[in-house]
This record gives sequence, C-alpha cells and structure tokens, in this order.
Amino acid sequence: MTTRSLGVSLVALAALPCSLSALTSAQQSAFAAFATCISSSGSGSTCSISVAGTYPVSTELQVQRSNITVQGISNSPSSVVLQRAVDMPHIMSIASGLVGVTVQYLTFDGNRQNVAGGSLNCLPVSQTLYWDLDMPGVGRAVVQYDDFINSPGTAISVYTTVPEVLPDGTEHGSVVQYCNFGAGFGSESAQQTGARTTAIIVYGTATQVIGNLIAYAGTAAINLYSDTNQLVYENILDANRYEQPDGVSGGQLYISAGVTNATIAENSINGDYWMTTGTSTSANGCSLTPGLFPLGVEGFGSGHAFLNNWITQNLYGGMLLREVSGITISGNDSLCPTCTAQYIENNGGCYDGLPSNEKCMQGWPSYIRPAGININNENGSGFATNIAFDMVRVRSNGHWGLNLTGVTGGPGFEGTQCIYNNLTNNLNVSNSSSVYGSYTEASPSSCQ
Amino acid sequence: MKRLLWAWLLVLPTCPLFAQQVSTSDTNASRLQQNLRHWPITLGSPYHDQKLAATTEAMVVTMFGLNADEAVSFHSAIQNTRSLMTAAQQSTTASTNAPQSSTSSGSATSGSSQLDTGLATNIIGFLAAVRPETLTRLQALSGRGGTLK
Repeated sequence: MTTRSLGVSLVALAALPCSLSALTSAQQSAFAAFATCISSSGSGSTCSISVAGTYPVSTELQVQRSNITVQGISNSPSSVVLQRAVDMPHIMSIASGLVGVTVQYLTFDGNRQNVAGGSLNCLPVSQTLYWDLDMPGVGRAVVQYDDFINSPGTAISVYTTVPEVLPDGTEHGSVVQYCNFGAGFGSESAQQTGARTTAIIVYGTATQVIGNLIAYAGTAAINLYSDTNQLVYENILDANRYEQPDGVSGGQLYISAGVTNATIAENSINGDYWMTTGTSTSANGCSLTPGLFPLGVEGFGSGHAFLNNWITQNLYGGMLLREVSGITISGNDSLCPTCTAQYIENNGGCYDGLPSNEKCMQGWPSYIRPAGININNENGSGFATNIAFDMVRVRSNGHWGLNLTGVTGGPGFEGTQCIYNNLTNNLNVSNSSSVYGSYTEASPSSCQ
Repeated sequence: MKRLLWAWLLVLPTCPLFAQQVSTSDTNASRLQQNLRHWPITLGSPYHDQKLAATTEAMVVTMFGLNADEAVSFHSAIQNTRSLMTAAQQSTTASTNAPQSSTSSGSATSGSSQLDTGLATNIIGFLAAVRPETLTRLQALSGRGGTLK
C-alpha cells in the first residue's frame, strides 16, 4: 500500500459510521467510496452514494475538492439519508475556498430527537450552534433537490465569498434551490422534522434561495444575515416560527439590518394561523412560550424590493419593517411580469378589533400592532425612510392594511393600489411625510 | 397541437441529437423541466407528510396561477409520480435487502432510471396541458434556478 492510498483509506475509515454493522456490505462500500471521493485525495467529477439506506455519520463529511457533484440517487432524495450519529456541529461541510460544488439528491437528517440521548432535541436558542450542511466560505456552490429534516439548530448555512459574474454583469452567488425543509419523513410528521431554529441562514453577495419548501422551522425559515444583492424567489414557507425558542414573535422571513438590496419575489408565506397560545408543547415535546404569533416578513436594512409575494394567515401580521430605507413594495414583478397577482391578505388575526383584547403584544412594544404591512419608527430611535408603494395588494388583514408611522422621505405611493377590506383602516398614517397620507385605489376590476 | 409542439420544444434539449446546438432558450427550457420535477417529487413522495403535501399543493397551484383544468393535470402528475416513487422504493428495498451481488445494484439503478424516465414523461404531459400563458409563467418562475458554469 502506497502512502497515498493509505491516506485515502484513513480518510474513508474516519468517516465511516460507528454503527457500521447496521449497514450491508454494499452500503459500507458505497459510503467508504463516497467519503474518499469527496476528500482531497479523491478523484472524478461525481461522488455518489448509489445504494439506498440511512447512513449514520459520526465524523463530519468534508467536501474538499472543487468542481464536483456530491449526490445520492437521482430524483429520489429520500433514498440516501445522511444521519447525524453523534453530537457534532455539522453532518457535511464544504471547505472554504472551493468552487463549483453541487450537492444534490440527499437527505440530511439532523436526528435531533435521538442523537446524544435526545439531549439535542429542545436546545435553548443560545446553544443551537448546529448547521447540518455548512458552507462557511464557498466560492460558489449549488445545493439542490435535497431534503433537510430534524436539525437541532440550523439546517443549512450558505455563504458566498466570490460570486460568479455573468457576461451581462450580474452576479450569481451560491444557490439553495428546490430543496425541502421539514416536510416529514416516513412516520415522522412535518412538525416533527422541522429545524429547531432557522432552516436557511444566508451570507454573502448574490446568494440565492429559490423554489424551496420550508415548513415548521422553529424560528425563521430564511434568515438573510448579512451582505448584499441576495435573491429569495418562488419559495413556499408554511407555518415556520413553529417552536420559537427565542421567546419572541418574529418573521418567517427575517432580514437583518446589515443586509442591502435584497430581492424578495414570488414567495408564498403562509402562517397557517399558527400561534403558541393554547399549546404548551411542540410535536417534538419542546416547551413553547405562550402568546407568540408569527409574522410573514420581519425586515431591516436598505434597498430591498418586495415583489408580488403572497403573504397570508400570519397571525401577527404580514410584513413588519423597521429601520429601513429605500424600500420598494410592489405587486408588479419585473422578474415575472406574467405571474399571477398575489395579495398580502388575512394576516393579523391575533387582533380582533378591541385593543384590550389584543393577544399579540408579547415581546413587542405596544405600538406595534397587527397590519398587512407595518412600517414603523414610532419610537423615533431608528429610521424608516424612502419607501415606494407600487400597486400593492393588501386586503382583509386584522387591524390595518398599511400602518406607516414615522416614515420620512419619498416617493410614497406611485400609481394605483389595491388596498381594501382591512379590519380597522386600510391606511393608518402618523408622524410621516405627506406623500404617505393618501393613495389612489385601483378600479375593482384591477384588484381581483 | 400548438401546446404539444411547445412541450416537445421543451424536450429537445434532453435529446442527444440536439445536444450540440443548445441555445440559451433551450437551456432555460431544460432547466424548467428539471426544476419543475421538484414539486411532483415533493408532493408525491410517499416519505413526506401527506397533510403538508396537500396544503402545499394548493399553494403551488396558486403560485403558478393554474386554472381548474391545469390544477387537475398538476394533481395527476403528482399522483403518477407517487406511483413511480413507490415502485422505485420497492425496487430499491428489494435490492438493498437482497444478498449483495452485482445484480443488486443493477436493480436499484433500473428503478431509478424508470423513475427518471417516468418523471420526464409526467412533466412533458403536464406542460402540454397548460395554456401558453401558464407556460410562460412557469418558465419565468421555475426556469430561473441557478446553475454552475
């Protein structure tokens, strides 16, 4: 045995599951070959596990080569399951600096209920430093057609360091697309397979999150954490903020203050009328803080465009934006001009019309009340400026359709809007520039 | 007939005969086909929570702007995919449980190949059943996903 082949074998051996005996010889061989292939000593452009099975992973799988595809069985992500077997931060990581890595057709099972004697199941948010798939500084990677279940913390952390610049000058960063998060697995319900905290946490210029189904994440489904020009497109978010281990109401989509120029378009963000009042434990047996209600979007930062998103059934409200500037909210979408008109509708149900009965105040200042869209700088310590509304469609929300408090600058309302049938007022404005004081309602035929 | 032509145009990029002449629009069409599989696989998977699948199917129908007939076609594609995945699952289970030999992995590969082929047929059938405006919309939505150079 040469030194090189010995090295390869040691890499493969280190990655082998501790409960090796549970696997057939074919599975053992497939897994060992896979672990070798993705290592720096591997070869070939595709590293596959082509034998179905649940593979316990006791040593982090590290992708150490650029320009490779890492995959399970084509079109069958549930067939090859990489399951955390011990208490470790990541099931798989893609080493910093790599480019051209694709990860597809795999299920990442964080195994929060079983690993380490179940001690990872209901971690407090301060201890949820687990990313089942970690991409700490990837030049560019594509994660697609994968399933993520049972994460004790965050399912995937994606970070683009060097986006690809296309001939037209646009930048494309790493992509997480057409994956499922918390969609259930066999006898495990969707609720049981949701991540304890965030499903996808996003860093890096031009990183994209497209076409995913994300359900029952404990906190946000998607957290845009830092950087610029990120795209969140065509995702379906359902009943996230399920366990809310952070103890406050928040958004299914969260945009941090350090993020600029994000585009949020054509997403369906459904709260499924979820609230923690009246329910003491989650499907995983974790304690829930009573009185917490999800928002569709909770955002900070500047330069964002929210285009034709369907935001519905979020009991706290559709959108809450604070400390924001240069924001566009539109029912039109240049990325998809022919897309079906979507509404921000039926949110804010925690408000039943009587302030004394508001059920959704926990964790928030009392002036932040439910609305379809709430842009709020009432406490005056932050800012909310330069907001453009262009054919926004907001109807049938609890309390207000739009609430604008302390909003300065322009342009305000452009063209016509579809804002109707909201519980208290369609538009509530205070301490704001005059351009936000009124709008022109489109004809009923335009507001279908 | 026009719809069928559209659908076949979407298929062309997958045919080796045309592989040397792939244009940007062909690439986008191929990407649409590939990405569109996500929804029938997700919603038809026997592994996934059926209640969530039902909720999500309704959301996808709304997002895609499908009319009643198109929604029926979409649902059929999901049901067909479920059958394909169940058959592939049985094939895979049989091969995994069988005494290991070269033919075992061959069986799993065969099941996967049948799934791939059946899915492609499913998607082509669905795309042939939608209105031109829906096809344009689907292209703008699911044809957008990122790829590596």
